[in-house]
Amino acid sequence: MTARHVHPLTLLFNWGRSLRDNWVLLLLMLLQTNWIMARWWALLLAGLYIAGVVLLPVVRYVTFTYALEDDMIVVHSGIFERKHTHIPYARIQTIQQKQAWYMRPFHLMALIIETAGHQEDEPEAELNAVPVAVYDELTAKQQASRQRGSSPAEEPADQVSAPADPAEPKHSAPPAAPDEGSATTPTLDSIAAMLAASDRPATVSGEAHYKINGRDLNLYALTSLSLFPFLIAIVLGYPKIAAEIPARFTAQVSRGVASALLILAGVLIGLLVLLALITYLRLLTRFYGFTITRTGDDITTQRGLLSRNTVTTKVQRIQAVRLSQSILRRLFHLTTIQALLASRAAEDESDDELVLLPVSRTATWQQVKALTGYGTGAAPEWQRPPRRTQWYQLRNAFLLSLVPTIPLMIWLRPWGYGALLLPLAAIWQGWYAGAHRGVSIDRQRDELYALHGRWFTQATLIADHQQIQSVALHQSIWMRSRHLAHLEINVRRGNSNDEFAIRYLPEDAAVNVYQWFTEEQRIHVVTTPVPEP
Amino acid sequence: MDQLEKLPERIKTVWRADAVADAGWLLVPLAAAIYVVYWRHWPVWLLPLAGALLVIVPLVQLVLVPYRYTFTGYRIRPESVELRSGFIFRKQESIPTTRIQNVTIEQGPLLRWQKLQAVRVATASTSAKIDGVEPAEAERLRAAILKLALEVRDDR
Repeated sequence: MTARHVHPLTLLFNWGRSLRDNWVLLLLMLLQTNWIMARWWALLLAGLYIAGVVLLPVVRYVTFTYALEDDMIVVHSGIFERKHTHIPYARIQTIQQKQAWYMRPFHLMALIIETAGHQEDEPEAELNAVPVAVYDELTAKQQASRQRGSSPAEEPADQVSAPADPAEPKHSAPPAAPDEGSATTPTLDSIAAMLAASDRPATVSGEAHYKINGRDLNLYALTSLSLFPFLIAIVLGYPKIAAEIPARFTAQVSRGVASALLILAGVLIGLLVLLALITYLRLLTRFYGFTITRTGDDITTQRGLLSRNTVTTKVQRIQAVRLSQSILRRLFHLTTIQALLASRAAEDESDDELVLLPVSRTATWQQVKALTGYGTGAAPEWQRPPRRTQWYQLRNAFLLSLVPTIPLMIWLRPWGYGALLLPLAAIWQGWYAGAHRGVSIDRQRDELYALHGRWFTQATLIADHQQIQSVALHQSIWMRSRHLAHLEINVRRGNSNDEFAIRYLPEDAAVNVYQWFTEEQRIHVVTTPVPEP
Repeated sequence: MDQLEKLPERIKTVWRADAVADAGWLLVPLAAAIYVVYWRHWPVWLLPLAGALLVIVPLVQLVLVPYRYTFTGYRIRPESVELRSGFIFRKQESIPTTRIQNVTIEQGPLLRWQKLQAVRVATASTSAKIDGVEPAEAERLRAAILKLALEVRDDR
């Protein structure tokens, strides 16, 4: 019950961060004191600097407290405007433990707790440095609170272990996201579900453990498409520069200019190599020693070399599963398995997905099943659109690429012709996107599988009926006569929406999905699932 | 795809009024055109261009109102809300009632004048809007969702 401060070392970290973020201010201050000799001015600046950079973190630290209560974690913060955040344990979507290298000797880590709330950019609770034991305390409290079942707002889902039988429901409560904000009223049904859940023997359904090996990690980092711009620039650029510059300048200007340019080009290429190396090393350190463990409903992923990052979530929190494979990784048969969650679980702001497995070589669908309970363990029987519809995507990509290409060719005459590569890339991309499309419905498991290609990456979405927020059909007047339609599936992802579109499907296939989503009668009172002998 | 319900006839009046009101924004380019032509001595043809914009844009919108009316539909059932719009680019969307997080009833001055209510239905990630329905219909939707929230659980 007692409110605690985070570890005093936080102050040191905060000062460090404050200094780092405000180095411009310091520089400005030093410059100012040199140039303008008025002493009061220098004093004022120094005072402001000390107040802002040195004292503010202290006040922040003193006013920031947290308490692990029986049913919730409470965070008090703010100097003038006090903010008290109450997070019931049952509402926690993900718990992230981050241990930077400098925290390790002190047995400290950062705890980041997120719910499904729509709060922009900020996690609901961020404890910058707490003893490692706090995490254990938190999970113990969470466990105790769940077992007591005292909180009426708690979903019974947390007690249901994922079933082994594919015919049984994966979750017996509404998805995690919709309960955000709105307090779920305890009803006879929810109580029935809770009872049903506690009656059921704890199935040993979810036991899985994977660890990345060095070779896979290396391949994963090497095949990252973010390396590509650098590599292309190096491979295409260097021979060209090396050949062009001396030829152009030896005759006309002096040799000195040519060699200077050559050195400049060398520096540029060196910089590119360095950037590529940094990108590669960054991925390597981020996913170093990646492990994922599933025990019952709990999923825990661990990764990172310098900063050890551990994310804990529950199977029930998964909004959808996404498999992705870029054209490059396809060559090596590497697939990435990600889980879409209703909170930001990743380190980067741009990453809303939790990576379940960076590299999956074989038996991807079995791994999906073992880790998340989604799918049957085998690839679905894709319903593929006819080949002729591939042409439409190719055409669209080509026409779109003309928008920048034509002006470039008209106004940037000699170099603009390089833009001709754009339509070629677009045709390839359109062809690629067209070739990777498909849908499949598993009526028994009530799951939808969708496949599309985008930016030379094919993605498969595996979503439960309950987790799909809405489905839309798009059909232009020209598509109507050809009986084609675009299918749009919306699932929650991070704090926003993930729109998964499959374009130019045969109308009946698209309508089939739409009707599966809309028409089927699935509103009925909770029935106790009978465990099969 | 079968027939959905149409919006009340009075929504046409709202859309027409909307089209005219929206044209108010086009006074800005007109004012800018007057300024540059008279004080900055830019080409005079900018003036009729801005003027034509002011007339043509709302006119097109007005002409399209019957089409918009014909091809806009909705259906509110206990289990789902469906929306359709557009003719050249048609969109039909389905939102199961169990996914609806909240229903917002919006009523601007134009809708109030016609005694209609716009209904915005939000899920955990998306939202959709019905431009205008009878207040009784909005109430029906609200009641259906409340009933579901209290009584039934989606258990599949």
